[in-house]
Amino acid sequence: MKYKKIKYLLLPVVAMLILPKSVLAISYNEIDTSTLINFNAIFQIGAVMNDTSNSSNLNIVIGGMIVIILILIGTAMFAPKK
Amino acid sequence: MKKNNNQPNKLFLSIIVILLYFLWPYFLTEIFKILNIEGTISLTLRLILNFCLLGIVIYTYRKDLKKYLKEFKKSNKKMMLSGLKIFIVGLIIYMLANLIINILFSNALKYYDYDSIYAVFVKVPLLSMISTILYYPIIEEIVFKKTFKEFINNKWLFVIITGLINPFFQTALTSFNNPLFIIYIIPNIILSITFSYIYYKNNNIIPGIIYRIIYNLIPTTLAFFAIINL
Repeated sequence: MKYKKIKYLLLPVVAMLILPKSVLAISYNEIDTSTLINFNAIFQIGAVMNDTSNSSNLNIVIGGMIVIILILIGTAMFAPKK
Repeated sequence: MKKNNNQPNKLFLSIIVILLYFLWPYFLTEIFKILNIEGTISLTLRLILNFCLLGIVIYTYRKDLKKYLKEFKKSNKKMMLSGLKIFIVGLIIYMLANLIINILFSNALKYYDYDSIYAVFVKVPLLSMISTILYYPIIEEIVFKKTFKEFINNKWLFVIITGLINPFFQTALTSFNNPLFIIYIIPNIILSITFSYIYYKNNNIIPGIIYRIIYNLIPTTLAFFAIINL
């Protein structure tokens, strides 16, 4: 039981070793935008950010939305009932 | 076989949620145009009103979400631990994929449109941080995963379909016209599949949301600290 708890305590240490850049950046506040962009090549923000002023985004949204709804209807029609 | 009479209602509800999610930004844009609201105020209002949409979506699925919460309270440790293994494996593969892409395509970074994401962060950093940590993980897990969970019983079909849809929009809305679009989408698919698998394995959306919040904390915190120091 005790060993298991130690394993969880090791997690932040492992995370710090994996992410030395982030730890340093946050600790020393020395990061600039170029470093940030370089860093975000490894960690992108996981969010669907839609710039509504971009007209090509509207086409993507409409096309994607139709495809999603069709997949949804398809799976609802053909999936085995619970 | 017992006929499931709720199926058409659930399908209708899912379609409404999807339509609402996609049309909401355009609805806000039109309202702001009519009221002549521009700049940082419109951005701030947009981020605040997004939480209204989140409230509507949560209210729509309140019964299921209450059930999820009840189950999560009962066995949160078990769910989080089983999710942790998947999350760590997914995150490592995701990081490796990103590293390989950046090594193979050294010019890849200049094609990626960070402007649209960081433009919002520069103008309203705190609110953007709150949105990225709380709003996006919850709403995207519900819209892109919960809506499908009602209908897909097959494990891998669910994981693959829901794992593909979210990253498609995440990448397409920033870099659809770039030749490297197909490459950018790969790491995002890996991460999205990870969250879908966590959801399916626990039959509960909450661990996936929590792990997504944890993940989003990394780039968001960096963006926040970088921008307030500009």
